[in-house]
Amino acid sequence: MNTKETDMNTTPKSMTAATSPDVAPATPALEAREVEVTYGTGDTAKTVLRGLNVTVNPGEFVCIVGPSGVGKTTLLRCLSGLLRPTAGEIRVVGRTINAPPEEIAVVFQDYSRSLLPWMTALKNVALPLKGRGVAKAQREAKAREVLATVGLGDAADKYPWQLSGGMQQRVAIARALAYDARILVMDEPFASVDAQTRFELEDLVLELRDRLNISVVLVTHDIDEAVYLSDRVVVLANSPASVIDTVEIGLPFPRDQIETKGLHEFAELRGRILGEILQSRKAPK
Amino acid sequence: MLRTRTLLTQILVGVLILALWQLAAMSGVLGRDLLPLPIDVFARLIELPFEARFWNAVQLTLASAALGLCIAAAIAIPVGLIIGANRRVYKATRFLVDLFRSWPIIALMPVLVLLFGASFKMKLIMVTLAAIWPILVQSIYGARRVEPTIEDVTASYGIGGRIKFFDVAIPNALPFIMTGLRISTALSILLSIGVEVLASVPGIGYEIAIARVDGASAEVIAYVIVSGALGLTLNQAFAAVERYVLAWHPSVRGEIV
Amino acid sequence: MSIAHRLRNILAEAWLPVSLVALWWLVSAGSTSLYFPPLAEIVAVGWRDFTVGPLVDYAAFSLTNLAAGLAIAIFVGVVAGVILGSYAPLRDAVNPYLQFIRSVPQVALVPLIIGALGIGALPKIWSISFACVWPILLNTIDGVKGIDPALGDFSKSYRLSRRTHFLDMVLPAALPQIVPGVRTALAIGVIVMVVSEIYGADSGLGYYILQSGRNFAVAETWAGTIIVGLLGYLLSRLFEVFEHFALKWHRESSAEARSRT
Repeated sequence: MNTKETDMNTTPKSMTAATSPDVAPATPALEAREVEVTYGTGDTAKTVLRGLNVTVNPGEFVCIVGPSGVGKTTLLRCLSGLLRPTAGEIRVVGRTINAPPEEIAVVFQDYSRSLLPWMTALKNVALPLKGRGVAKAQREAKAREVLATVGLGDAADKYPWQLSGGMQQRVAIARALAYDARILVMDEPFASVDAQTRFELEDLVLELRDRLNISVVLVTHDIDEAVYLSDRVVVLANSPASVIDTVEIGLPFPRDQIETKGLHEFAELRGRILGEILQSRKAPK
Repeated sequence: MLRTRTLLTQILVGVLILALWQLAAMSGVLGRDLLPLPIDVFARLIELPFEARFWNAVQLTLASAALGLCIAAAIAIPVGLIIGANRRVYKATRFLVDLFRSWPIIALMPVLVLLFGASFKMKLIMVTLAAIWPILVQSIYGARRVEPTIEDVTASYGIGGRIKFFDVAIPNALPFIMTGLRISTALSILLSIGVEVLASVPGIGYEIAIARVDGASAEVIAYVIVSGALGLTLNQAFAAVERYVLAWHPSVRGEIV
Repeated sequence: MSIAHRLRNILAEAWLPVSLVALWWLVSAGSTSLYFPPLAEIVAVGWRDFTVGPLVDYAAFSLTNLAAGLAIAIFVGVVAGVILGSYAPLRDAVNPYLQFIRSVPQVALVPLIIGALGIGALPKIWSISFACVWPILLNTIDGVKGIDPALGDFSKSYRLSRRTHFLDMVLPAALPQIVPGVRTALAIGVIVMVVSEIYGADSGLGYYILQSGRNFAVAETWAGTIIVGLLGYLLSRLFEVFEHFALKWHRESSAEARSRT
């Protein structure tokens, strides 16, 4: 709650026009360029990410996978504007950001902490709209609408702690949708729910991506999940972490938990990524 | 059935305490003017509510405690939230807050008696001075202790300024503020009675002190019991308010965190 | 942390208290008010009574009473707390009486104990220990009650003696709860110490404050008040240091547990 962060939110997001000649014809929705993050200074400095490049095109579903502790969450905090990289830049629709941009909504792993326990589901979802100065009636109507979209039409007046883990994460997704974001950034969003719920939520996010034509960046350590969801999988490894491979996932849509995961290509892609991660661990430092 | 059994043992323990008390008083080891017979104390407890003097004393003690608590809260909550929200202010005031929170405020009484005389006003100032610190400390703590995830949420959804203060910061600090208020409630009663005992300011403490001087030990014990009942009642009342205000909070919902 | 950084940190914390004291010193200099003597004079009389006057003896009297009272309270509170915490039926039976007696404002008993037993050291020790025992007792009960039942099973299956079970298992496990109870008791103990000395004594810091106030020696009254305040602060800081070491394992293991989730 320090003032610095408050300032960050209230001052207009600074922006730089993207005019470099090497920008692809279709401007990427989200782009990390040569990102480096170092924590601390002097002897205790630790570089977590180095020379990292990730591109997410409009409407694309990209998963970032890597072993635990590799720096996935750090990258995600950079991508969403919560953390300023030590070097390199993050671009949203071509402009460099150094504060959380309006186009991005973040869904955090820890739903029990990211939802405010003193507010009902409805109020939680409506809060970002309140921050934008939307009138009460309008923001609540919108919140009800998105809650219905994620299948929680009846739970609007419940408190987060009266809902199951999966339902809480649906509320968090609804909050992101109500924000009218073009890019959904998700940090291991399904790591704390049971397997059954996890499959339901995965399919929900795929469906929402199609319906709303948004881009999704999802960080996970679960390779099956990454292959199942993505158009493209970005594999992080080593320390400091960098992208060791980018895998195009050509699996047909719509995807199906049983059918897709039974495909030969699925197993192949999964094996390839797993192999790369294991290989990177064995490799001498 | 378990409940009735517990109740029975509780009654048994009560009878045991009374019996021991009776025996000790009859044996005279402690002297009658320290330990009266239980029967005399209960007789006084039954008589007291019919005496105007008793209600006057209760009222004066409660009034100074309640008023002092309200003034302390009105000052300490906003000041604490401001201190906690601002790193530089927090650092600059840290020593002072630490110093005064552990300062036995009762030691200021002789100075205040010189300034204001042995009056209700002096008692009120003493109570306020003592009750401020727990509320202040807890408000600062509550304002500083925000879940990092919640900070991330407000930052990434562009929630700032007034909305962040009223919809996020205050509810977030509320459980801590309530803890501070609860500590200060007990403290304000303690200070009221302490000042009444020491400076002969009217109230329950004063009744205890003069009864003691008169050697009326049954009266002393009766008033001590009354002061305990008062403390217990306030504590229960406070717990009820807390349950209502913090219905959303895990500690109130009985969830293990 | 570099030295410059450290200095900046100290400066950030010290500038306000230091300037407030300086302000008090300057504003009160040359004050002729009966109630607000110059700070310089307060310091001077305080120093005088400390070096040649009775203050050292008084402080020793106060502190030994506090230490003795607190020691008794810790012993009784922890022993009774472990017993009550371990045996649920006993705990349930005495619970309403405990809840009541801890609600009695501790200072209400001071006139009773001192009035009856006189103004020497012993009644003060009784007053202090009687006031301090309740937070320690209740916290110990809570701590023991909250111990994982697996600990008892462990002791049984490895056939640990009762002594080992209580000293090496129950007590350390309940310590994170007992220590805050002692901290609360310390704060209450200092209050009761001062109250009991103001109520009736012929020695002690509270007595010094009261006597000087009665004689309208206001600078001494202020000096005594400040000394008691600084003492309260010092004791609580000392306790923090003790707590820091006593509960090191607890703090680190819970930080570890948090970082894992």
